[in-house]
Amino acid sequence: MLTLPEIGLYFSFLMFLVGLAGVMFRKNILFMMLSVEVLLNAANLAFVCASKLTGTIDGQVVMFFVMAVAACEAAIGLALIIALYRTKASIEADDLKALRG
Amino acid sequence: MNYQAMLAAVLLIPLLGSLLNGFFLRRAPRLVTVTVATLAIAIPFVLACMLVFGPIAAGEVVRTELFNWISVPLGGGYLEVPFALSLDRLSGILLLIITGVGSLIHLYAGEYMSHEEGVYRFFAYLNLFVFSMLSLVLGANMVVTFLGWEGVGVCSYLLIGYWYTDEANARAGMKAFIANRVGDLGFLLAMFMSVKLFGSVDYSAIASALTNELAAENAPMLTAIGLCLLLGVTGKSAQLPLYIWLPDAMAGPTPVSALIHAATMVTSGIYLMTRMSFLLVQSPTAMTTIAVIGAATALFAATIGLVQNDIKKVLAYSTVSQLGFMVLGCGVGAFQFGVAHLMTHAFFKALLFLGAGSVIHAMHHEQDIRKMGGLIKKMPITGWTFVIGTLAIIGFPGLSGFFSKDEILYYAWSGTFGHPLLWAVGACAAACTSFYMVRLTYLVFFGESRVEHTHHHGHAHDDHHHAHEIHENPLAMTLPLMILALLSVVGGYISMPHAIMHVLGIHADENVITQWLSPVLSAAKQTMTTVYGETHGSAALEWGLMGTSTLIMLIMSGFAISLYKVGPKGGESIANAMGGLYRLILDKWRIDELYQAAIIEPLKKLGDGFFKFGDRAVIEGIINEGPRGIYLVTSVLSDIQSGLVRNYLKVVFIAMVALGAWILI
Repeated sequence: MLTLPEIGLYFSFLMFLVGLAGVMFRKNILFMMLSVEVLLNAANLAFVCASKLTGTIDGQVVMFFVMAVAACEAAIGLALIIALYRTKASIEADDLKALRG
Repeated sequence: MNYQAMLAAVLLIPLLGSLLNGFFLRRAPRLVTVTVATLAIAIPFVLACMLVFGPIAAGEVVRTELFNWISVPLGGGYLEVPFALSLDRLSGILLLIITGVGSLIHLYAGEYMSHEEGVYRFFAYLNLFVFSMLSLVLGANMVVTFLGWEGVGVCSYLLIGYWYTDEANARAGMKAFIANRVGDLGFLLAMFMSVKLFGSVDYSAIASALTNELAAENAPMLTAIGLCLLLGVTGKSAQLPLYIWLPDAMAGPTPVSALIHAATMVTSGIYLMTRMSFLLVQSPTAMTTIAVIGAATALFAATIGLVQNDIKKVLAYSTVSQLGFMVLGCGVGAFQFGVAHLMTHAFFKALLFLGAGSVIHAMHHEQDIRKMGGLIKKMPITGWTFVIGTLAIIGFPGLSGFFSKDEILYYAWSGTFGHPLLWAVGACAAACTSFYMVRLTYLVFFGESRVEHTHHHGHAHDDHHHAHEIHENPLAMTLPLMILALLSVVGGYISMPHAIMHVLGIHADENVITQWLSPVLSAAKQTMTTVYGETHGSAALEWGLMGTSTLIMLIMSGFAISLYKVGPKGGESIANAMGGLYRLILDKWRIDELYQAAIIEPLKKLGDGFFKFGDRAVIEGIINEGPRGIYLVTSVLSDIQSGLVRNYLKVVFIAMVALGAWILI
């Protein structure tokens, strides 16, 4: 019988896949940002569950750092999206290919 | 001052003059430029007189090494080529001619070029030419001679194209240079073969290494060397088949024509043959070829001279023809008379060219003899000296050309390699010479004046020059004429025929030139007598040939005068009677056209082929197709860089899965 932290780990794996699929297959940058949030939270869940499993506190500490970074990322990312929308009139990722070789 | 230092100074002072004029005196007044240039030749002339009439006349050879030039391993030892100068009796004669006639021509050129801007360039080239010519004749080995040989070619090119803004002049310069290069190849090959055969390029070393046994073993090689030298001679001394550059070379200023293309550079071939006489006489094939080429050139060029209307062109073909006489003299074994004719020719042809220049200068660059006539009244000094020059070249008895040319003709009949046929060709050439020279002189200086008064040709002139009035030139131009005229009269006595010496009661075995050159030619003479036997010409033969050529000369001169008494139209009746032949000669036998079709066009086609195949297909192929291939490869790689975030993310995902798999398994 699985314990709760173990279930959490498996769940975090599934969540990560969902986030990854969202980043990979969505074309709207806004949704890609949301998917990145899901990815980060999957990682957070994995940290917390691992912390519980090993009986140490490190994972839970790192989770707070990740949440802080995620907040910053969201703020900067949304600002970038607004700037992009003003110059390109679009927030489709496929319209942004100036770095093409 | 010791003799070695003097010899070095003789060579280096003209170089110094050239450098001074070329680099440091570019803005100096004309007088300074001309004085420096003239002194740079006159001082060596004084030194040369001291050397030649001092130790050289006493029988010494002055030799000096300036520095060790080339040292390369060869076989077991080393091939050492020092920059060595050697002054013997042969180079002594040439040295006096080059510096003596050269000084006069520099003096003359100072006045002749007085209307030109920037004459420093002209005099720098002229001095450089004298330096090259001196290293040609003073070089103690073939390499130093070759340096001068190339140097005179370069200076000739620079001076022919002196008025380079006119494309025809620049082209004439290139033609001269290229024709010369063909000849230079012969000299180079001869030099290489000498190194192979003798292990040395030093003239005296080769002479002592060449024994009769060695000659017998290497006869084909010696013939090859002789023929290669002949190729060099045909280039530099304007013989068939490479003579074509000399008539075009008249595009240069007239003093250049006098110095380079009459008196000095073109005679370097004669010098070289005399210098290598000991080797040439070992090969009858080479000698006969030389004689035949000389005789053929003498006649061929003389026929072209018959119909030319440009005063300098007539003299140019005359020069080619006279060089043919000299080569004929060398080819029949009478090297000393080749040299004697070289000297007398330097005098009278320089005189004629300078006289022509004087006329051209006074006529404001008019060169067509049909527009001259009666000039002797207006330019008495130029006129009478020109007449003396003409009498000298056609061999009027008592003048220099008579002695030197008749000796050559006599040996063409009776010399070691002589043959009556060679004499006959030479006599025909002499007949043509008499005709065209008398025609030229008569049309320019005598008869009615045909000068056009309506306009004048050429460059704009200073205001103080009355454009339409023809008058005698200043002393700086007439003095060289008078000196050269004097030399043209007396210069021939050094090669007085035996028969005349007997009559005059001079009891010497040999005439002056033969005695003077006997140390240089002793090896050749010994070979000729031992291998081919003594030749005995009789006094009767000598008198007979002399009389015949005098008679021919008188008849042809009289014929020319009677024909052209009425002006240039006098020749028309004969020209019409000759028809096609006349036009063929007028077109210079269409040799230039023949070369154009036979050599230049195929070469152009070949070059075009190389361009299309080698350049377009191979080189441009590599240059263009190589990058194209690289582009094809790289474009695949650059396509990966799509710029689309999702694609990058896919790569990240795949990498992550792969990494995870690798860690787990």
